[in-house]
Amino acid sequence: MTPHESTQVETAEKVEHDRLWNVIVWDDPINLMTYVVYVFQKIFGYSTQLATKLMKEVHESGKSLVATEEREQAELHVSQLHQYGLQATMERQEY
Amino acid sequence: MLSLRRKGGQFEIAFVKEEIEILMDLPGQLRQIIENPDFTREAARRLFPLGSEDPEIQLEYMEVSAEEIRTRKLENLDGFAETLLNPRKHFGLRFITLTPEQFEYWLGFLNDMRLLLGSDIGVDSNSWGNDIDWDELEDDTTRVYGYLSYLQQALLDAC
Repeated sequence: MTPHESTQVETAEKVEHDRLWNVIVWDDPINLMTYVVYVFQKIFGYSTQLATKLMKEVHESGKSLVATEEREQAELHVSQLHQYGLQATMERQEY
Repeated sequence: MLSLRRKGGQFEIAFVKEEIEILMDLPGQLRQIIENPDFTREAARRLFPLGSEDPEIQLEYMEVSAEEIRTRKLENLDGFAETLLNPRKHFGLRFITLTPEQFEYWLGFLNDMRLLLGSDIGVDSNSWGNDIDWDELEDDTTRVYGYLSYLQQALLDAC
């Protein structure tokens, strides 16, 4: 590998590493609506208005993008959402 | 549940004796599936959902999060069970007072218990439990599920 190629690989890896991750909460027939609002406020510190808006989006659209952040933080938030019993996943943000 | 009121930063709940007996029977059921999850059961998959649809990401996620999730659920369970041990008795009623920390244990436990029961009875409507028709609750599991939904909603309304 030439120095130029090596730099290209390192740059590609850095770009990949720097990509942000979406935290998505999925619709659920069991969790109470008020509980979902409570959890969004607890975990993300969202206002009642924003937490309610996101909860309604989950309820009506089947899912909601609740945060976009670096991978480590996204993992932490998905774990916290799971601890509270919500269905949540993380995925790389599309370019 | 006969009443729920805030006293300072705490919550006092009044139960009849039979309710406490029902509640005391629940932690053992949940502990079993948390400590030995059988992922052929919907309830186990619901209590421990995937963190990613990408198998590689999911594996990495579980390595960093699985134990923390299990520990939190057991903390909620133990914290809930402990509050049931010595209720204040008054005129045949049982009063339980929750600190803010214990309140969190209750919310988490009730939610996990509802996930367990709701999965077992196949809750699939999108009512989110807010429109419970008590006349339609037919068997014991469904009645307990409905009761826990009512109790969890009451806690949320009080906070």
